[in-house]
Amino acid sequence: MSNVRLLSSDNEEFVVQKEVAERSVLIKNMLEDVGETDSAIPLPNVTAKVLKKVIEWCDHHSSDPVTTDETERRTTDIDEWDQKFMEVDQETLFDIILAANYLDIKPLLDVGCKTVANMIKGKTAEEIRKIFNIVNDFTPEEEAQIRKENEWAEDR
Amino acid sequence: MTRLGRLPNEIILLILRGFTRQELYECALVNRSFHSVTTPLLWATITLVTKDHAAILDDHLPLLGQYVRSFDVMGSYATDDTLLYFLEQIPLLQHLSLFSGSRITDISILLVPCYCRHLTSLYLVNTNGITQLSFEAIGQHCRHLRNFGLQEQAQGSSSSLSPSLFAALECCPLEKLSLGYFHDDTNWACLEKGMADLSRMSDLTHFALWNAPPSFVHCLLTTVRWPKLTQLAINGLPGVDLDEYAVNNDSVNIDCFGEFLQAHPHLSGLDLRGSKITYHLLSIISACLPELTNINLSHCTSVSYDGVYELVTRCPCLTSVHLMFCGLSSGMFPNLLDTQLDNEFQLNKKAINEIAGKSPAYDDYDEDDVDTQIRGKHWSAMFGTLR
Repeated sequence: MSNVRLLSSDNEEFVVQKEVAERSVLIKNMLEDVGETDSAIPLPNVTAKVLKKVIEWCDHHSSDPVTTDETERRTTDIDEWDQKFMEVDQETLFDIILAANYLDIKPLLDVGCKTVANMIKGKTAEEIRKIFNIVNDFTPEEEAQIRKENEWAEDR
Repeated sequence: MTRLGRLPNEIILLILRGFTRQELYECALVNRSFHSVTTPLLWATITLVTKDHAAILDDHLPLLGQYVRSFDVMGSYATDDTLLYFLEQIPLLQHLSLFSGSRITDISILLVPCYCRHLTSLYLVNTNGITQLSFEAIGQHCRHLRNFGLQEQAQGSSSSLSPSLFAALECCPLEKLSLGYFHDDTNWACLEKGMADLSRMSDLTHFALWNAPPSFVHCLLTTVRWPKLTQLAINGLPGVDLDEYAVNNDSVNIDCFGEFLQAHPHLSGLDLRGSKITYHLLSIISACLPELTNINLSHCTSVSYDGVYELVTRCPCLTSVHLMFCGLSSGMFPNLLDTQLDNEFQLNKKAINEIAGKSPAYDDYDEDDVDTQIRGKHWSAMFGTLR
């Protein structure tokens, strides 16, 4: 099994099994384009801290079948290992999501999005603001307007 | 800037996928950036039933009509004028459903093709004021119409259909067609005359037929061969047996049903609720349809455990069998735990694997995704349990 070298934005190098690195469609395509290479692949959008987490995830899931079925991927619940993996501070969680998006690792992006979705679901607007430290930037008039726009949200 | 604000809108949309209306509404109230992402989702589907709805729409459609993709009009409140007034404000409408719109006539529907240039679905139920004139206009000008449903459910109301209905719609790229519940047999006789036109709709993938008389079903099964058909519903045939003893003239013969299935080996969904289903028929189904994934046998009181067992062991792709009101009880499936049967008595993939002794595969329940929500909540009224 050959190895691939990945270079984070803060110049830390990671040596990863090719099979693990290829969970990222971006890296897979790059490797196909350049062929066998000794030089490290630069990932200017991912810091070492986040890349380490992403590699950990890819390593754990390296033997998963690749699901192309969109609906299946969307609706399957988050498994226990992934739930534990995602128990990180919000900053890191969003970094992982952004990295998964950039590296094109759809299953990881899904797990990240579902984790955030579970934090939002069933909460009131005020609770959501508190959880994510969001400032309410509506004027009272605007807020009243939105309530009016959606008057029928409740009875449907 | 909030941390969540670092995520681009396309990722926020992924997060909001599968949220209910109420959950989206709470998000819309969080802050301006959340509001701008959720508003298109909240306004994707709108309903017009009462005067109150009309008042809300009147206030907001001038600004928000651009987001509307699906419009359901129900009951007798809406007139031709109100319908056109609102359609004018939703230029990107894709799905239009009219339920019991007794005051909707050709006057408005004739103009639907020019108001709704992006229309892909049109469902009409109890819209007796709509005649062949409208269907001709729709057929000629709705070049994106892929789903069409025409049903009559209210007692005492009666439309009069033309033998040229299918000919009129032939230019639309129809993929999904649902017809049924016409009370007046002359309507069915008219449609039967157009069977040759119907058989030319070669792009059909979904076809649903509700409460059709035996002669229509027989004519359909012997005439029509659709190469792309994957989902079929034929239900509640009154007094008809899908049975080897059935007589050809006034009932559906099992041989012609078998030949139809043989000619459509890619069928993956079958809804036969309320039909007389014998063991023999189920073995024909399992022999002809190797790709079958879901079958609805609810209200089929002649279904036996052996028949279900035959089906479940011989169809390798099967993931769901509906058995509501079949007279079967969960006790008849000894190797099943009660918990594996949900309260609607549907064998899911796990249960099917248990019965057939297959090794378990991981479950994939297909719940409603956003696309399903947008394609309109009346899908099940038109296509039953088809996917």
